[in-house]
Amino acid sequence: MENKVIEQDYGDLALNMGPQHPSTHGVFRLKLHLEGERIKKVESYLGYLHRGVEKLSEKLDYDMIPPVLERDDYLSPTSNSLGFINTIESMCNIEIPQRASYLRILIAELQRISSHLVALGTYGLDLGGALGGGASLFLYCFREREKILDVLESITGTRFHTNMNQVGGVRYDLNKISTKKTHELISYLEPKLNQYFDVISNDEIFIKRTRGIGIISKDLVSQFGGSGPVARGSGINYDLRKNNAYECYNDFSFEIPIGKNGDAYDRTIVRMKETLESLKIIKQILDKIPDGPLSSRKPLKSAKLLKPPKGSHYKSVESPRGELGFFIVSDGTSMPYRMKIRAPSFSNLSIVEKLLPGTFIADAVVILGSLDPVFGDVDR
Amino acid sequence: MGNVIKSLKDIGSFMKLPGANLFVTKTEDLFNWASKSSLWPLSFGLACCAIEMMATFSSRFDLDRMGMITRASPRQADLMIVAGTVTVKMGERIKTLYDQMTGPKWVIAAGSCAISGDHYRHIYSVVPGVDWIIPVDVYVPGCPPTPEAFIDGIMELQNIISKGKTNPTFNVSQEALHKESCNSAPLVEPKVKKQKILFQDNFINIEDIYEVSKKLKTEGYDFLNFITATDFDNNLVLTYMFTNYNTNHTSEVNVRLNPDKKISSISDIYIGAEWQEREVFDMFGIKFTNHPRLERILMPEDWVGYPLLKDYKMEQPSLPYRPSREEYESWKTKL
Repeated sequence: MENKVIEQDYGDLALNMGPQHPSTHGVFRLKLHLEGERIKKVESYLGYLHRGVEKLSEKLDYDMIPPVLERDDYLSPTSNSLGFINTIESMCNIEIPQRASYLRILIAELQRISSHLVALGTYGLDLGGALGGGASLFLYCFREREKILDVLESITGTRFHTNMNQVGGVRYDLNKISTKKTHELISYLEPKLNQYFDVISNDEIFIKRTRGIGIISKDLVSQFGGSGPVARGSGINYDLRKNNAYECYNDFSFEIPIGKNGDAYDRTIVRMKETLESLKIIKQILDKIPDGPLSSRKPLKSAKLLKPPKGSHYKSVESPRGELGFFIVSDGTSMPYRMKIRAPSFSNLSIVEKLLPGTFIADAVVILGSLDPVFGDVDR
Repeated sequence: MGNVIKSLKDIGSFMKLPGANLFVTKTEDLFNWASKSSLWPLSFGLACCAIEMMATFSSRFDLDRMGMITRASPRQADLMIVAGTVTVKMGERIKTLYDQMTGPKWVIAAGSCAISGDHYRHIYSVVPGVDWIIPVDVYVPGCPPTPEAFIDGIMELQNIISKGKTNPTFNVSQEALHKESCNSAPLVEPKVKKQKILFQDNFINIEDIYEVSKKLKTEGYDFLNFITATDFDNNLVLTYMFTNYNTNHTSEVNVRLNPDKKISSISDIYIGAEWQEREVFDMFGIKFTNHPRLERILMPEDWVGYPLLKDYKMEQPSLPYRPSREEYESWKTKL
């Protein structure tokens, strides 16, 4: 029998996705040029959440900046203020008490789990659709996240913009009730996270939709400046908690999960394993936490008194999305002359333009979701 | 079913006739009852408040029990929850989305950014409150509002709907804003104190940047952290930061720019530099030669001026939606 060509060439179709599309994880616009089901070319547009934080910080005193920064990467607010405060502290040579450092890490790791849970839950929506099977993963993840937020609320009084860190130490302390709640949280979360890990890593539909999709090679990640789970999913062993240990991460034993192939599956599995490692760290914090003061600074009469010396400084921390750095130029006054935020999502997201061409349109959301961008962080 | 009958009793009365049950009410009340019990919000989130909105929709707080299911298309939705900071670039889209929704429709402004712009209100790219763009029925305060506050706001909206009243707040100065020209020249900061260059290390010549980054790449500095610029007196200084994954060593390279603000692009050595350089162009107006697509990345394409230059005024108005500081202050005193 003769093979008849029944497909007709309709030419190039430009499809607009976003900026209010539910699968773009925020406000992001993709212009996809399609050839049938395949993506030929991608143009991306961002900046729909550009709030000018860098300009604003030039008019604020150093002590006033962390709360503004916490609104930046809103899934893990603490890592923003942690990075900024670490930079200021190493500029001014401020040492902080060990108890404060432990408490900072406690909050940061709790938020790492909650951030990865949101990433996984919304990824379920991307894969299964709101009314398909994906919604159950979303609901389970948000249920566990609420438990974490309860603990954060009992320690700091707010659900996720905790405002825990300040230059020289922390604001809030663990008390008997919040310690008990944290212990309960660990014993609750551990079997749940293990269960989700088992379900996800063996689920046939999940594997079929993610394995071999959106492969980023080791070389490509580094060329794009990718970091965090995106880089580690591709097999790059780079985690600032180990490689350039800040705070007191050296006191704890934990592992850095590494992927092999660099596909969407590996990135998700790396995130899931990281939540388990974070639980390990939290356990050790509760066991080892020393007594002592919360801050090495005396209560300040004015925010104008903190004046880092002239010069520039760069320091970075590991946020759930990757390397979050702060490049601060000080002119010796109480406000930064220039502050650049090295946003992990911005660099990770830039891979999209390279990854999408050649894939099917149904995989576009799978790939985008696996990069886990937060648009407060991308656009700043 | 019991709940339905209970809520129906609020708007009418049941009568028992021989062989039949009768419910008597006004059609207007019945329609209001129907629309308040099945509000379909448009699912789109802007910033942090959207995360709390998602938490409100999910397991613990469960808005489904109030008849709310999110819709991805504005044409199927009758409620818009503006959760997050509204920027000038997004403002146009929000207006379009609102116009695409079929009436009757309602708007909830959730969070202090959507209400007033919060601490971003004087930033050039932010609309100080979504009511400069579309009429708002209910304001939910908080940064971000807790799920309880969200539910409270929704119940408040249901009250308004069941009474058949709409009480939208729409900014009165809207007319005045349209009168001025749209592309006004950037405001100049009057007393700007530019410093002399504050750091002296790691400077190289402007012609060498391409060769230096090529050399760094061969030395194992695979990872380009960032590119940024700083506006000093007489000079713009570009800063590049590279990291070696294996040795954890970072290398900083600084370049003093000439007044023509031109420098060679390194985007064919490090592909990630492409977006970084676009951002620097967007914020400082530095032109990278041989760049594949040197366009604005964060600001709208027709934006005038470069925001992170020191003499660019932070309160830059952007019409039609972002008022000038005077207009904003005068509107505030009228409230």
